[in-house]
This record gives sequence, structure tokens and C-alpha cells, in this order.
Amino acid sequence: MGGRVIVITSGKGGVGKTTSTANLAVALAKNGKKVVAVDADIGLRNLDVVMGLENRVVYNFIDVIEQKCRLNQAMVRDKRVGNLFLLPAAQTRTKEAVSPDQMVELCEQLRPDFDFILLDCPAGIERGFRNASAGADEALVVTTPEVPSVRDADRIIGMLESMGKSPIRLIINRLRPIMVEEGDMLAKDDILDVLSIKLIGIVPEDDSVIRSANRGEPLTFSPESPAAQAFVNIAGRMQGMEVPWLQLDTGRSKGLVSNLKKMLGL
Amino acid sequence: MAYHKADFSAVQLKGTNFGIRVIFSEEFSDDDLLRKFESISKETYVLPVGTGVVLDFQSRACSEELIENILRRAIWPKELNVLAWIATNEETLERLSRTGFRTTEPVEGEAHAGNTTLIVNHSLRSGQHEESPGNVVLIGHLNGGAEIFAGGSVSVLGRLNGLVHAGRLGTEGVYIFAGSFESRQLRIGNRLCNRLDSDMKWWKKPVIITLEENGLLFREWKMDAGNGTA
Repeated sequence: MGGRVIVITSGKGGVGKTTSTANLAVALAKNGKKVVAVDADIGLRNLDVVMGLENRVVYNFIDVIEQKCRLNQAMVRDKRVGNLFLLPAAQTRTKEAVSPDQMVELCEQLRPDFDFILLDCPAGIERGFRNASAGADEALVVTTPEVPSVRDADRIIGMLESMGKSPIRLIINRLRPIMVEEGDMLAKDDILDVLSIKLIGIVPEDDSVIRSANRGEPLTFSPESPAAQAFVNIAGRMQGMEVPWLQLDTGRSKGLVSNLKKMLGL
Repeated sequence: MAYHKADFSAVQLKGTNFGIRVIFSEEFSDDDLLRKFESISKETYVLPVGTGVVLDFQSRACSEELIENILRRAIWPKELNVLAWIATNEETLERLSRTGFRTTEPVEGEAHAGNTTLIVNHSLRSGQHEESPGNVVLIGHLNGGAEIFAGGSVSVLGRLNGLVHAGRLGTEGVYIFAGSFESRQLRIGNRLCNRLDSDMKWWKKPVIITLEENGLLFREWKMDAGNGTA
């Protein structure tokens, strides 16, 4: 039995698919799993930048499909974690350069050598999405707590269900507990009520995500921040571990009365 | 007695499998045609549920004024269920299409299917669509971005967040039921209502919606009362 092929998708752009792919790939690799992160966003290659491997890309997976190089020549090994690899996309080609059948074949070639094959899916529901999803067994759907993002996630889940992908699990990204508390942001239960799929993790809004993307160093290399811890937890759940849910703090001072009550044990 | 063409064939009625085909002659004036159409008694059009009439203008040029008069003097007073407006004259066809009327022939068996009920036993997600010539019962939620178009009534037992068009062929004696109403647009018959928002008192409540007095009437559905109360 080979590795698990998981597509990370959303429908809407800018919700954190590439960030999730990079951070989960690192977290799984640090847990001792052999992982390859495949950038399936042909023409808008970004995963190499977020993973800090941009300068080491020589070939890409279109070169593999077109037999211009061997698969192991196109894969970039991350020297920070020995068992983590990146298979980059082509930046100068379009989504039409690959067919769903070719993606299935590529995934089948990767499957015997890896525990996890993570496919970073492009935004949209067209060719790029169909390519990336074709080779996957499972899916992680990323959404932010906004109505348009949830609606797009719903569309994608319907399409994944009709393609027979299972399990399909949900990551809620960029949740701001303080806004939820004030009723200005969709809460976890509101989102789950609409999407009706199993939640695998909630990633709180965290400035360190932006810093890490700019530095090319996924957060999960040193998981001190709340977002990094959330990704580590999700990676654990992907491996079937029982991981407690992160307590999301609103960051608000409880106030004098509240603190006094706490001191008095009330 | 003076000879009057309208007395003979300005309007012909022909029985079909979907109800009655009303054929308007090309030879008579608008006045003759209207007088004859108006004079046919309402009882003539009493048809089984799910059937209706097809208005066939053949190659007759048809002005907006004539369409309006047909509606005002015959269709509305006789409460006719018009399945389609057929014309071969290009200008007439364009004019009818522009008004939003159906201008294609009813499909074989479609009218009778108005008695049938399609049961959908799963929620519809964004982008998913169900269409039926009869009634539709959705045992689940209709999420935002999902649609149901039905010739008859539509019941969404869960949350109605998407788009529903009941009576899509122009039938107005139909209803929409929602277990929890959260939609911003509804269509019944040839009427569209898009002034719906979360400030309304029946938002997120179980409701029955019907078309009455040219407007949508919302009634909250209360289980303990056994029926709807306004």
C-alpha cells in the first residue's frame, strides 16, 4: 500500500491553501513521515517561495510529464527536514499543459515512495482544480470565516463528493475569536452548519503567517505561534492522532471585576 | 344579420395532451380577436390540475398593446394557466421573449408531470440545481448558490438559503415552504421578489409563502397550531 494523496483546495483564492500545504508538509515531515508537496498551480507557482526553496528549482512536474527529466530530478529535497520534498509547478505554462489523466499517473508514480503526497490546488473550479483533484484520494478544504469563502467551499465540496473523494475535511483559517465574540465573523458552528463536513482544525489569524511566507520559512519549523501550533495539531489529526483542540483566546483583558472574582474563586 | 368574421374563426380551440391550444387567426383584426377570446366562457378552460393553455399566434404580428389586452381582458379574469406563448413572426417572438414568457412548446408529458413530486433526500450545495415540472420536496438544506426550479410547489424542509422558483411556467396557485427561511430572492409564477433581508420578522423561521393580491404573502408555520398563522 502506497502513500495517501491529499488535495488541499478551497474554490476561492487567497484563503490559505499554499500556506496550509507548506505548513502541513513540514509538520508531517517533522513527525517522521516522508512527504512530497506538489505545486499543482501551474502558471502561478508559489509553493516554492513559501517553502523557501525557490532558488533550488531546476525542473518542474510538467518537465516530468513531457519526459524532459526524471521524477527524482524535478523534486527538490528540503535540507532542513531530510524527508520533505517539493515538486514545483511550471511558471511559464498554463493549466492546459497537463491533463487529469497525467496527474493521476504522476500521483501513482509518487505513491510508493511517500507517506503523504500533498497537492496544492489552484483557486477556481476549472481545469486546474480538476487536474489537482483527479489524482487525490482525500481532500482538505480550506475556508476563511467569510460568507463568499464558505459558499465557494460548499461548491468545491459538492464537486469533490461527486468525484468520490473521501474523506473531505475542513480547515477554518484566519479565525479571529474577538470578531466571532462580537458577532462580526462567522463562528465555527455557523460554518459547519452550512458545509456539513468534519472539521480537522481551526487556524487563528496570526501575523507570523505573513512574516513566515515572506521569509520562506514555514511556521511549523518552530511552532511557537498559535497558527503554527494549529497546523501541527492538524498534521497530528491527519495521522490519526487524538489531538486536543486549541483554546482560542480573544486576547481581551478580563477586567478588574473578573480578575477579582477569579482571585476569590467565584 | 351582418356578417362578422370574428364569430367564426378569430380564435380556435384545439384539445392537446397538455390542455388546450388557443390558435389566433392571422386574418382578423386585434379587436375581433380580443372580442372572441373574451367571449369564451371561463368554464371552457376548466382543466385537470397540471394542464393549461398554449397561446399560438402563428405568424401574426402582435403589438405590446395586444399582449397587454390579452392579459387584462382574458388571461387574468379567466385565471388561465398559460404554459407557453408561441409565435413564428420574429418581431412577435422577440417581444414575447422580452416579457419573460415561455416561447417554446411544452414538452410531451410535461404538463401531466405537474402532478408528480420529486423528492430530493440530500442537501443541495452551492452550484447544484434541481428542476422538475411538478412539485419538489427537498429533505435537507438549500445552501446559498443552489437552485430549485419547479412547475409546482417547492418544500425545503431545512434551511432555504438558495434560490427557489415555484410555478416556473407562470402558475401562481403554488407555494414555497421553508423550514428556516434565509433567502434574499424568491420567484413564484411570473413574479420575482428580491427585497428580502435578515431584518424581516420571519427570517430564520419556518414559513409558507404564496402569491396573493400581486404580492408574496409570508406566513409563519407554527407546528403547535397545526397550520400556518399570519
